[in-house]
Amino acid sequence: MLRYLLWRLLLNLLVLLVVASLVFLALRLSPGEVLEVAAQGAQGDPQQAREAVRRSLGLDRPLWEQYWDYLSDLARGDLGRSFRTRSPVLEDIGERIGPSLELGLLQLAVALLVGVPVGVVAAVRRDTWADYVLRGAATFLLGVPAFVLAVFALLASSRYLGWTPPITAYRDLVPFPPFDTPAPEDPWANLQVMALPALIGGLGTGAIVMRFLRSQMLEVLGQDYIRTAWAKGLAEQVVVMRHALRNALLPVVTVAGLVLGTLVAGNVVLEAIFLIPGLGLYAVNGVRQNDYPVVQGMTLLVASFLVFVNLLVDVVYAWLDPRVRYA
Amino acid sequence: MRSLPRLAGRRLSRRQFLGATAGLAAALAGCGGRQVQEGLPPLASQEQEAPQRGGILRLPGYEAAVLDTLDPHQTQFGPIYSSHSAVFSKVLRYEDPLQGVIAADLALYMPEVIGDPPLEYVVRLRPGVRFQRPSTVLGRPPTPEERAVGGRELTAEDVKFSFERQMNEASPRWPFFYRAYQYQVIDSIQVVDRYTVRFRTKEPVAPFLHFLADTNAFIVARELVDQGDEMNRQEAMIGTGPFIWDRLEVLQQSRFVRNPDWFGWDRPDLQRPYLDGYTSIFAFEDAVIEAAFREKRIDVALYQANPQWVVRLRQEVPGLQTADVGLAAWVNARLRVDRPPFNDLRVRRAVHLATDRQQIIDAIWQGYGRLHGPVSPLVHWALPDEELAALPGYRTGRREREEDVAEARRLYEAAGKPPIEVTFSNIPPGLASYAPQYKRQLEQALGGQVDVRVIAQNDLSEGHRQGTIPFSFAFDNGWIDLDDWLYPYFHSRGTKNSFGLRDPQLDALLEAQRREFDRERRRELGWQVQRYLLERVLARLDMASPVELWVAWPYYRGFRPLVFFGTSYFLADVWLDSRHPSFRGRPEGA
Amino acid sequence: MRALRRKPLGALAAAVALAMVVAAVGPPEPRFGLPDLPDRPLGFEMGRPFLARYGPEDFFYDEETGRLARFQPPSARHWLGTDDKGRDVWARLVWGTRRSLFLALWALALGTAGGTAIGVVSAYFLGRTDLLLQRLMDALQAFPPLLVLMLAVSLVEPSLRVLAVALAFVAVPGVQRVVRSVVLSVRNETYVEAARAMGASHLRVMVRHVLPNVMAPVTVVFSVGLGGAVLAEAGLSFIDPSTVPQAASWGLMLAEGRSFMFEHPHVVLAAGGAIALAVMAFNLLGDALRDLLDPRLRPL
Repeated sequence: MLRYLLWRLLLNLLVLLVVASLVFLALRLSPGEVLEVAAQGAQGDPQQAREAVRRSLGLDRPLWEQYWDYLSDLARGDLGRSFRTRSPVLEDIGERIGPSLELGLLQLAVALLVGVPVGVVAAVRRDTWADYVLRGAATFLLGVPAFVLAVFALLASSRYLGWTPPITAYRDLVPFPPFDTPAPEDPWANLQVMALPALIGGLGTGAIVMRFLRSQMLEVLGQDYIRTAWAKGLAEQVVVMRHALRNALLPVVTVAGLVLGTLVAGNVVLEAIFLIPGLGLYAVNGVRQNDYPVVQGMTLLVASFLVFVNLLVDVVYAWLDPRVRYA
Repeated sequence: MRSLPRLAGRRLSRRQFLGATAGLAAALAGCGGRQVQEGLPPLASQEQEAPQRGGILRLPGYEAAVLDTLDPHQTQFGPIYSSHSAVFSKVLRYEDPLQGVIAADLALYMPEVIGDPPLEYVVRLRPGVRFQRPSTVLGRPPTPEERAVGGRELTAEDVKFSFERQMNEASPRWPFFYRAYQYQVIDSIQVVDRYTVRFRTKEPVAPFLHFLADTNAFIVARELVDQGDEMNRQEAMIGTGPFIWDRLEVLQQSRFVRNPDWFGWDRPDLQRPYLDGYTSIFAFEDAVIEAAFREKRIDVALYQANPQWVVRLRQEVPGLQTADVGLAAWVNARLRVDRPPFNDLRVRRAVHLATDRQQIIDAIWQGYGRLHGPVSPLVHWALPDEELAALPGYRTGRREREEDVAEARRLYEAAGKPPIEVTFSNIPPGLASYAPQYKRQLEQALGGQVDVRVIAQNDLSEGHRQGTIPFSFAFDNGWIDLDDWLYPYFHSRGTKNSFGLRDPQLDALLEAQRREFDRERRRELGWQVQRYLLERVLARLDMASPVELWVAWPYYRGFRPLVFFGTSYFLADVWLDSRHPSFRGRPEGA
Repeated sequence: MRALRRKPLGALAAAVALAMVVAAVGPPEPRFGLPDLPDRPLGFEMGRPFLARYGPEDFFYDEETGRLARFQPPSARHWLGTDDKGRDVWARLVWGTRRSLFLALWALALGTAGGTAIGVVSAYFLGRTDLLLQRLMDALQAFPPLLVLMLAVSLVEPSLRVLAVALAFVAVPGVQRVVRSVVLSVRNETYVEAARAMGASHLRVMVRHVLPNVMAPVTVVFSVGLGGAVLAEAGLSFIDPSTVPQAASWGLMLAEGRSFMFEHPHVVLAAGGAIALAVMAFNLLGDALRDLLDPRLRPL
């Protein structure tokens, strides 16, 4: 097992290198011209303007030289500076990773808290009204985009409940000199900011968890050993919880892993609407503005997060299902 | 203390304004820029009441939307130079851009104009104007940039440097000095003494004072410009304006704090700004803006896509300050007049007449828009509204529309029904999503084949410069002065002439308005140009501009809606009235 | 017939799914080529959808004012009313069905096929093959869906075909992961080992003995993913409308209609209803198929 883990870690590093190189190449070889926003509307010869931009960003040098610099910076833990803001990408990421992780974990918590019990109930009470209602609700959540739910929730709460989430709370946690507006790290303000996006994103994911769990539970409930358990006259609770659920959780772990992977930069829409200074929005903006260092830094970050989450998922697998063996 | 009913009483004039007729517009023109202050008591009474100090104003804004560069001379993104306008000073400033009222900023008084015709401008600077010291208010140790200039007095050398920097064709950043075309008329800038600068122009230029007051005419310190001729760093944002730029967080917010050392124009005794600072919060979603405004997390709001919530809110909450004003930006089409099919005036006129401008207003801005001639209807240089509204192509009456469409079809058929391709810009989204509808609209009106495609704004600009786009459709920011609206676009040597337009008669007219120093006569000449453009040229088809619906809480005193980007120094006069009943419940943080 | 009686819900779902496909298609025109959206979803071009009376961009004027008839309530002329630009909502919904549904179907078809193949091979052979393939998948999965879509449309000229392929890429890692986990748990079953012992080839064992086991989860993944694909396009329309080719689609209708959700809910309700109905139909269909395909569930 230990050897396997070491081997996996090594491979992970290799994967990261491949990802970094691919993104580096794809960005530079893509037909879309760099930084045209900066050169747009400039006076005089457009070629001259573009050259000026390329020169100031070091994009006029040979590709291999840029690549070598990129890799050696990377080795030193330097992700470069944003083409736009000129601020170090690593610092930007450091500032934004907190809100993203918090939102993602809260969503995962909501998803599991709602998805698992509902999935079990729907499976056990298959083809009853409870099953239909729960599945209907899940389908609804799968069919309505987050931004529609978010706009609805915001308007309904502000028009009819007289409550709206703070819009800059996260930033105000960093004191606004010299007039410290709300107390730094006000957990109550923080919770207010996170409540709606966590709920909206969490329920959507919960619906997926529920669907997979129900399907897997049905599968497991049809197995011989469950019938044996029933035959032994064990209580429903024991059969369902102890015998069936544990075996049905495998795909749920998979889904949770998938969600964890996207949680770092996957909340673009909710971050945009609720003005949460997270990484999803940062990444999307980087793509939109052809900000190479930002896109490179973000892909690398997400990739490293993901390969390690996957490693974790595989380990959990082996622990949950004795049939899975790693050599 | 002002009571709500009194404010409500003044809302009548808003309704009058809504039904804006030319007569009312003229009446409003008489009271200066006050039309942008509908619902507010007149400035005079405001001054009698001692403004309250403190507090942080919170605005919804686009400051954080995109960042091209932080360099005050190299940005062309309105929200960014709006930020600059709070931080950096200019020689002159616009008191009221709509009426073209210019006042002294760094200058001690309006420049002395010498010669007949005038060729020289002597600027006397205020003594004792000092560059900001951010560390004193931000509680951070001073940056190297601050150590270089913080507290240093601004002198004539800084003024000379700031203009010559943008006139330097040898600069590696030369292509990005977007306003450099204005300074082409400058012959020399001479430092007479520490506080006196003399500008000489090559020829008489009527809008020269405008050039000194226009956006990007910021005065910066030489020390803050790096070897690459850029000052694209947050730390370099040290000017002499009323506010200190704390920081810009892309896609989130931009924060400014009061500059305690500010020189305060002609009234240093007022110790403006009254505010401790202001925050511009980037929110593009109607639901977010509405919710935040209701909770007073932001103090002022305007709609993005759905105007109806603003209308509804105004009914729901009596006493809100309101304003319905245009934005200095407009939808326009550009045609290549030097090659087929648009070298045929009949085809250009056909498109001009066939385009349903009211439909553009309805489809893109939900009916909240204004017809737009060659000059924005907002500025006093524009053709009178009633004249424009009676012109073919602008007439909205049903019968007149039918006539225009019939004429368009006749012209188009006479020209041999050439196929038409329209290239749309992809921003703003509302414009791009109108593209397929415009295609249907033109096809129905002309009875010919019309193709549309949507391309990136960058590609569109590129195409304009290369002359590869025969017919483009875009949304651009507008200008303050007559000259900026016309000369760069339509003069043979104009920097924005993407039409292939060479018309000696037009050139002569454009040069004539440049030489005319009498404002009224210059306006007449401007009208002549505009009429000429609409009758004989039709290279740029000007369509319409949006009308913004604003709401502000009554405690926001000195509220003026944003019409032009680059006027954030207005916020020096703003204060928050915590004694006003509406202030109750305003949360400390947003 | 027995299936129909045993699974009334599934049958209903099948009918709805079929109806949607029918609504999306139009009279075929004999112009063939690689499938492309929205005009050639099945390899040949088709005309106006049978159910649409107007074009997706046709606009209507108010008889009295002569201005665009915006936000009209439902009427005999406009079954679902008109939108903010005076266009017929029903017509846009039907045209949008062709675009959204086929976009999702193509993306998911490509994605599940690829994902299933990778998952089965990976788990069947395990060892180096598995390790290598899985790391590849890790890399692919590293990109959040919206980022992949935005990268795709920023690298290549935005078109629906590009979107479909990009969405397929997004779907592959998830599908293969689920498939692999199922295969892992059956590959050591006696019937698989027996088949191998009897000399069946790897391919034969995979197709005949392993693949049937994964059909159940795959149908679920497919049906769940379908909604996801429609929503991904909607999300893209929301975040950056300029990257989405301008045409009627469910996602675009939602993105455009959201601002008016409270004042004029019919646009969002129509598009949201269509998506929910599609997702529900394909989900229930997936469930029913799974129940029918998996013999072990019968006695329950």
